[in-house]
Amino acid sequence: MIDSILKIIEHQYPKDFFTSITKEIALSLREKFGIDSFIFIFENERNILKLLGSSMDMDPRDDDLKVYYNDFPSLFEELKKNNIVELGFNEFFSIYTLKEEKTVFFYPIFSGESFMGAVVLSKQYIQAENLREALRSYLVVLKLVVDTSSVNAFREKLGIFEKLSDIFDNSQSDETLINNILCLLKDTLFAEVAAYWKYEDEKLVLYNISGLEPSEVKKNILPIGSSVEGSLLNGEESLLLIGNTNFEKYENPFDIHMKSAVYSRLSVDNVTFGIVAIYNKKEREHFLPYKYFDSIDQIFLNSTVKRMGLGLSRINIYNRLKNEIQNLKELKQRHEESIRVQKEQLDKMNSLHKISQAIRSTYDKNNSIKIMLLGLTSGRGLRFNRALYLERDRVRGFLIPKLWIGPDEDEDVDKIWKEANRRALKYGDMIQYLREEALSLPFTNKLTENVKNMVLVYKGHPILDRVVSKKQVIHVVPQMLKIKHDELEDIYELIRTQEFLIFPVTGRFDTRGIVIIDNKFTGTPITNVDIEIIKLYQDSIGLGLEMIENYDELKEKTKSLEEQKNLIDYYRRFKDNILQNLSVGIVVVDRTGKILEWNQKAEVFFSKARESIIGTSIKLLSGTFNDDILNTIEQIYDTKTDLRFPNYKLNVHEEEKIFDIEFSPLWNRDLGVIEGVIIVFGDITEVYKLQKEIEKREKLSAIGEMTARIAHEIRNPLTVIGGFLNRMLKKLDDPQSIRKYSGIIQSELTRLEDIVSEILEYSRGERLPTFEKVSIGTILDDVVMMFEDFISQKEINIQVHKNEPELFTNGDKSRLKQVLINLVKNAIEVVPQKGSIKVHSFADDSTIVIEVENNGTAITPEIKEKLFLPFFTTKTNGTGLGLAICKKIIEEEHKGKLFLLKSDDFSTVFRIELHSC
Amino acid sequence: MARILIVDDEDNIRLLIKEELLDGGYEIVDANSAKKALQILSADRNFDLVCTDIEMPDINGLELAGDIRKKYPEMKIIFLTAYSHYKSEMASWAADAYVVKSMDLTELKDTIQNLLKL
Repeated sequence: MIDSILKIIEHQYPKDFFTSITKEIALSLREKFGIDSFIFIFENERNILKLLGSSMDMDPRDDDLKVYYNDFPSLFEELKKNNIVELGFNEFFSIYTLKEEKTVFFYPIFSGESFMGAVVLSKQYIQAENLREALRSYLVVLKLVVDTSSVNAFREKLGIFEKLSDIFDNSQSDETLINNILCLLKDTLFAEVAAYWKYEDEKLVLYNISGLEPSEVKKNILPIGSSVEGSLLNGEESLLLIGNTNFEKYENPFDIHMKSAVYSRLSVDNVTFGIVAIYNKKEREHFLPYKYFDSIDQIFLNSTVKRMGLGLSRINIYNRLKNEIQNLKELKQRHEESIRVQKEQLDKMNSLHKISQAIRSTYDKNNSIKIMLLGLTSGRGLRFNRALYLERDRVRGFLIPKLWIGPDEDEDVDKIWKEANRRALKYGDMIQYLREEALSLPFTNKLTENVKNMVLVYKGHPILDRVVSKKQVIHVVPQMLKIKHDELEDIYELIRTQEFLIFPVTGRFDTRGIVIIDNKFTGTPITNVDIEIIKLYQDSIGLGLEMIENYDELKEKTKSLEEQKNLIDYYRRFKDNILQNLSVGIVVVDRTGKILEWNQKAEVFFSKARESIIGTSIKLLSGTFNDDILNTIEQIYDTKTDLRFPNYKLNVHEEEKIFDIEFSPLWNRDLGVIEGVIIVFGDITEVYKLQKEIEKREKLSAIGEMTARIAHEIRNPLTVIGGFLNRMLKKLDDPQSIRKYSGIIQSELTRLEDIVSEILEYSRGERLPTFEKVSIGTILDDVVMMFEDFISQKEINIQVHKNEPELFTNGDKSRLKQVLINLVKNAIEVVPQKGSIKVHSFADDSTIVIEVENNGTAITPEIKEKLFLPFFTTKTNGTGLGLAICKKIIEEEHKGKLFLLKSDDFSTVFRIELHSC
Repeated sequence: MARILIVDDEDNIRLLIKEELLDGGYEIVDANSAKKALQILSADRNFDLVCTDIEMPDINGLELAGDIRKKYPEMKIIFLTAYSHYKSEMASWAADAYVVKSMDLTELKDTIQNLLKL
């Protein structure tokens, strides 16, 4: 028997293995006891007794026969107590093979302490002991069967979980997950229908269904109150309904006959999502028609739905996560975009700055326009495709195209740009690039030629007037072109682009012209950032252009200013040079005594450096400048006139110096006030010394002259005396000659004596004048009487006028007489034959005046100067002492005055003034 | 016989020279001023020599000599003066000789003789 079992093990497929083994055991029991038996195995995991094999040929419908603990708890309890249990047939338990029987008997099988199952017999006439004894040898095999069955059940269970896991792993959406789970439930639990009712707006909506045609669904929305499904929302978590009578009180949503159903509530995170339900156990080929869902199915459904909830939650989280990631990605993209825009803006701002600098670095208007347009279009600049500058004609109200930079339509745009970029990259410095590129750029090109003879009228133009007059930036977009077609037509004719930007080039006050830019070839839209940059650009460029336009004027002004400055500099230098190099010291002092000017000579004179003295008070120099000078400065403000100190002695460095000092007011001609005092120091020390020297020399030379004169005066008489004495010696024998010669010698000797006494008279010292009351009239009479002979000899008409009453002076009579003798004698000598001489005397207050007048030849100016110098004479015979002696007598001895009153062709008058008494 | 014109404003000097030279056998004419001398010469230019003082009123001897040189280039001229300093004046070079007055008239007479010998 064991051999046959081993043969089975050897030959049978595992699936039928247990059936075959139990059949063998049952067969051996029939052999021993003569009755058929059924062998149930206890599956501990599911707490069921499962029919495995029989000694009879089994009805296929018994294949899957199981006895549930829940259905017959007492059966299980009794069997586990090792008692034989008699069980009647009923609706829930039937063995088709035994359907003739009224009752069956369950004999427990134990292996040691463990409950292994039961042998079911139709009749109870076998002793339990005997059956146990009969099975003993099979227990090992049975144990194996039981364990293997348990393993199989586990494996089955595991298979289902694997499927579930697969579903969870592979279901990315709610719908897929629900659909897959419904399919799994339907298949695993052999259900006809599996459905998911979704809870929405206080209703249950059929979300997904498996196992029914759409036509079989009567209702896809269930009211909560009147359906089994609805009753589950607030009550039990799950429900198992068996038997069609249970369904009668509820609404049946499907067009099927309800026999059994299991419901389970789907909750995710404590929120009810809906109800999962499976309906009617499928009538498989060998299934009993009354087969219903059981509690095992319910447990399975519940655990599956729980997992489904987790799955949905996971998908939900996953989806949310996915959304979050998506959001983050979008955010990141947006940030990247904004960074790119900002960077571009910065680049453009930088370019803008460079372009402005480049424009400011040129002084040629055309060049600056070129730089402006290049800056707008260059790849290193603002990268617009084309830029057109139109100059404003203020008088006619026109805008005239000047230059249009960019490729023409029929040119190879890419090639042109490639070439332009190649050139642009040659330069490290953008300013340099713009300047040099502008220089080599011709002022005409294809694009400019196209619009050369066109003008835009801006006066009264709805768009252009706003740009020119209001200085607005206008962004023209295609839609605007459509709407305002009439207004924009003329501009469009010129530009022929759908989108462009017009902006004014404005200086400080006025619009110089406009620029139109577009992206005709790349079609890049003009952004708000572009417009903002253009607004900045417009100001900067406009000012640059204005600066250049004003440059020439400025240059002229600067030039003239420079010339003026040079001239002023020249004058200042000239003035300074003069001031500094003057041979006189110049000091300028303001009202407060502050020194304003101190020239080089002043530095030398007073040994004070200009830098150290200017700004200080002149009073600090009181050691050098005495009170005379300081007071005079004050005085000038009052007198407002020049003042002069001739031959002023100043002690400078313990050395006496002679200055000619002149004080003059420093006038502010505009205000008419005196701002200060100019003090001019002329150092005349040398001059003064020389003058003194000259005076001395003059005196000496006068002495020399006198000596010579005296010699001459003496020589003549000596020659005569000697000569005649010689002759007398020769003519001793001629008494007549001797007498004649003696007379001559005598007269010459008298002359010699006269000369000697005159010299003595001038140089006399011993005799002091004796003063007495002297009558002028008497003197005059005496003198005239003395010269009576001469007067009559020369037939001179002499008039003497004596004052009435008589004039008296206190003086030395003889010396006064001598003066008059001299004057009258001179007069007699100079008047011609029959000349006239007048001697007047009169009183003028306390002064006695005596005038001696003659009508001789006038005294020349040279002679006038020397008239009273001693030893000066115009006469060949005379010592030249006469007038000198007269002056000495009158002025030194009598404290009066003697001077030449006048001398012309009519008369010469000497005047004596004496004090009367 | 040589004819000599003497010019001097001092009568006694003129007289002395005149008498002395007359003794020497010369024919003498005298004038008390330059003006007078020029008058005499313009009337009678037949003189061999003019002897003139320098210091004289109106026209002095130097001027006179200059005048005579212009008008009578052949005329011999002697300055006879009390001053020696005129010798240094260019104008005095117009004369043929310059003699300082002295009570001894030998020098004057020698000079006249030498000049007339030429």
